[in-house]
Formats: sequence, structure tokens, C-alpha cells
Amino acid sequence: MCGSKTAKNSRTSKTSKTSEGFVLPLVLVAGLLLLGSGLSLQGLALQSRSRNGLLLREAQLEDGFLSAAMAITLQQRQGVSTPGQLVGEGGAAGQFRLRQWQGAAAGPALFSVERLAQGGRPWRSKNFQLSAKGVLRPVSD
Amino acid sequence: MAALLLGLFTVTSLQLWQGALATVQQGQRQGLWLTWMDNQLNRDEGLLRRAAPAFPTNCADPQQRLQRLAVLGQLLTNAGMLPAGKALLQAGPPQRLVQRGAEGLLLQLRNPDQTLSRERHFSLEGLGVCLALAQP
Repeated sequence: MCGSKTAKNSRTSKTSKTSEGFVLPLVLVAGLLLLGSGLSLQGLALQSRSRNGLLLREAQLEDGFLSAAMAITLQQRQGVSTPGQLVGEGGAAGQFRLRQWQGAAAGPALFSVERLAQGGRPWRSKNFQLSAKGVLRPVSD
Repeated sequence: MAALLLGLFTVTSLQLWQGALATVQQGQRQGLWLTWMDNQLNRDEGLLRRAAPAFPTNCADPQQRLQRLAVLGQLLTNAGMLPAGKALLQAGPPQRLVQRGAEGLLLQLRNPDQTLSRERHFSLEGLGVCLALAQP
């Protein structure tokens, strides 16, 4: 009777040990999967946020180009603009300058505006057209 | 031991998911504000460009310049803001400033928490208002 009990206990203990040996890796794998999914979701969310930041900077750059072109047109009409002269206060959009002006100061013209990088090096440029009616429009590349 | 580990993993993952969800929602709101700002700026620029030919101005005359800038600035102010969705307005209304200077108009937009901003400067010369420019 006693021997039978001991055998039973030994069997239960073996089953429990087998189950523990099985459960722990399962829990670890499941936990790592959970963590991994959370981290990848977080990564995707951060990526989407940084894409918004990029979109904002691009839009601010376009605003800066248009504003600089408006200011250059004003200066050119008043005869106080020269190629290389800086425009903009170096805010969110940065600093710009007139690279080239083709046309009369008071007539239709085609000109190029340059955005400067830190250190004053040219970084990006955009062309603008001033119609005979004096309307300023960006020229699509 | 296994239960403790499972609990730890679950709690940490839940926190990560919550953080990701909040970031996604914030990103979506920012995206909507960016679209709204783009639409608002393009609408206002279009308004100025369409109205400009109706106000021929001698831009060499400082008095006339100021008057035209005041009229165009008022036009923008009266046009107001484009409607933003209810979800966007939960954080409050956006800011739209029309500033009039001696050289032109400055249009500024900001979202309620001031994290996003756009601005464009318009000069009378660039809008085609100045009389001398219209002459061939």
C-alpha cells in the first residue's frame, strides 16, 4: 500500500517537473513575443511621428522660399536687391538669398532663390517667375 | 515563477502598447493639423491673389501701400478660418495671425499646443498689385 503511494507521488512529481520544464520556455517565448510586438508597434508609431516632422519641415521650407521670393521681388523693384544678398531671419525656414535674376528690375523676370545651410553654404534652390502683370509664381522643376 | 514572468511580460507589453497608441493618436492629430494648415494657407494665398488685381496701387506712394495692405489684411481677417474637425478642436482652437507691416502681410498659423507652425509673407510687389508692374 505504502509502496503504491510512493510510486504515485513519484509519478505526480515527475509530471509536475515535466510540465514546469515545458511551461517556463513557453512563457518566455510568449512573453518575448508580446514584448516584441509592443516594441515594433512603438517603432511604427515613432516612425509615423517623425514622418510628420519631415512633412512639417518641408512645408516650412516651401513657405520660406515663397516668402523670400516675395521679399526679393519687393527689394528688386525698389532697386535695393543684389545677388547674394541675404533674406529671412534664419527662423524655422532658415536663411535665403537671391542667386540669379534674369530680366529687367521692373518687368517680367525669372529668378532663382537659394536656401543656405549652416555655415552659409547653398543647400537647395527654387526658381520663380514674375509675370508681366507682376504676379509671382514658383516654377515647377 | 512562470506566472510571475508572464505577469511581468504582460504588464510591460501593455505599457508599450499604450505608449504606441498614444503616439499614433498624437501623430494622427498632427497630420490632420498639417493638412488643415496647408489648406488654410493655400486658401488665404488664393484669396489674396484673386483680390489683388482689383486694387491697383502706386507702390512708390507709402500712404497707398499702407492703405492697400490694410484692405488686403482686412480681407483675410474677414475670411476667417477654415473649419477644423471636432477631434482637432478638443485641444482648443488654432491661432491665425494676420500681421501688417510696411513691406507686406505676414500670415501665421499655429496649432493649439503651439507645436506646429507655418507662416508666409506676401508683398504687394509679388501679388501683382503695383501699378508700375502692370505696364509693359
